Amino acid sequence: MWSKLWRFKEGVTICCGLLIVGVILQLSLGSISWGLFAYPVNLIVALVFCVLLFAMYALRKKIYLFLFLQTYYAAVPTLFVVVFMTLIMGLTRQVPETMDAQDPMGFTYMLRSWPFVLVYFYMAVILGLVSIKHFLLLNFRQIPFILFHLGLFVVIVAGTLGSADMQRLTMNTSKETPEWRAVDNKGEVYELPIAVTLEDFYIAEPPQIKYVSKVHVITEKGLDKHYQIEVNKPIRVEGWVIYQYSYYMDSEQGMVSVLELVKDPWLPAVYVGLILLFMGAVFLFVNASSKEIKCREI
Amino acid sequence: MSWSQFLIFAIVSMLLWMVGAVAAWKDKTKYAYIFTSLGLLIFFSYIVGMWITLERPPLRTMGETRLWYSFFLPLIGLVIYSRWKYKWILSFSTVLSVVFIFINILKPEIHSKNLMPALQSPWFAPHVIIYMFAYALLGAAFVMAVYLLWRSRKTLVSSQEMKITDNLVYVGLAFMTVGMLTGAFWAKEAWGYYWAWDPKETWAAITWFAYLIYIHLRLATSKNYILPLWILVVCFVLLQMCWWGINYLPSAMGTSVHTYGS
Repeated sequence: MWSKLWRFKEGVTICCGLLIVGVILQLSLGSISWGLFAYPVNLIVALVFCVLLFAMYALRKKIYLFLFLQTYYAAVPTLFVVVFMTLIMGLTRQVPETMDAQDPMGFTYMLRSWPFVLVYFYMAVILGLVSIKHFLLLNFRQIPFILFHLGLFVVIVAGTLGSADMQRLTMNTSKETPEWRAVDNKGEVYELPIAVTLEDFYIAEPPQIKYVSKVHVITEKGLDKHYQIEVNKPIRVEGWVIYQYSYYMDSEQGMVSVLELVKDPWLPAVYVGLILLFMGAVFLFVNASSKEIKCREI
Repeated sequence: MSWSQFLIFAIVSMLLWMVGAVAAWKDKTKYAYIFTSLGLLIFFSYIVGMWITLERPPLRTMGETRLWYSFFLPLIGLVIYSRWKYKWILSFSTVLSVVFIFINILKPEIHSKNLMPALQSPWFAPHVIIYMFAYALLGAAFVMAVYLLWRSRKTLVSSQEMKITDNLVYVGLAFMTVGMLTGAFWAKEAWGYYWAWDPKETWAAITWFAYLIYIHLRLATSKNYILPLWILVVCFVLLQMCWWGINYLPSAMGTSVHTYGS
């Protein structure tokens, strides 16, 4: 072992080591607080991560590990532990976002658990290195390969780091009173630059049940417009997406329509990744039906 | 069109598929095509009839998604047959399809006519149809894997046979990826999340990565056939878990927006 060339044994050992490190970190530091990554930390982390990946790629001939990470012998064990950790997540009931994990390993809030995050991080490193390698080689036969790896890399990195900047608030709107305050899931109140007045709320009857809010929106920037919001038909106002969330009758205010306001500044980056994956899938389909997909090993 | 007419359409389709499968065994290629296609046509006309009567695509309940699965299996069987002339593939796809038809006859899981508002989306039909197609392709890959494993005690698996299995997995995974992505775009419009680690999504991720193990392992060790084939069997078990198993999973109960029929 550890004599060149490394094969599955080394790949598996690295993954096991990673899991052990994850467990140690989890037990000593506790679950990860993604809130610490709020802008601009996440942007800096993302840039540093990309620079480091390029550096690792450049040093691949000096440091054998970096070369090894681009091989199937590293990829297969990584996928195994990714499946393993995700399987634990699928078999463990997850607590709501507002709560902390209920077990020492953090498995009841898997997205904040060190072993899970480290394994996905390791996969992101491999995806990044492999993307760089094939991007620089630019072999057209490898297009689905590049699209899949780069797409998944972008989705994981932007999705994870971007989650720290995501805002998800609910606003109770009623007739004749403009509302600009909204609360998050912890009950904290935010004052927004958007004021919403409910003009009408109704439930359309069968065959197609619909919940419809007609609203009047005014913003600090001077927007003054009337909209209709339905389930599946959100509106977009100055970086916020406004969804129909719920409704209730209030003895004083009358009908109250609850709207959900979501701001996710990293969404365009995630969508770039999703579209890369989509194109990768299309190419994979075309390629698979025409010729054998082969990938050269180093 | 309603579930009460299902029995007639199903029996006629099954008989036609069986005749097609027998014709394929006996190297009567032309009849295999004709009868299988006729069966598909009749089965599909039932789906279309349901679609019109329900005034929505029949995709909401387990019973309705099984309808598509029963349809896609012989279709994929036919495609594979036309490409590689495997005489047994139509028998296998017919048997699998018949299993799902029988489940539907014995436990149709009937439902109301209305779609809940979150499902009234242009993404809904493509999301479920593409997923059912992926499930059917990966089901065909599973059938292939079981057949090759069973036969491997006597005859060696050929590289040509592995190539067919690989292609089924590639195309199945391509469809599964598109199915997941349409789900992500839809979820963003309906709930504001593109991926929320809802139990169904978690299991979809497990299944997706599990099939990627197969693909990477095949590329890493192109001469080893038995281990990848066993992995394919496990993948299919995970796929069943993702499709309907989570409805019975304690960790997922009552927490998924994907729970069928409620």
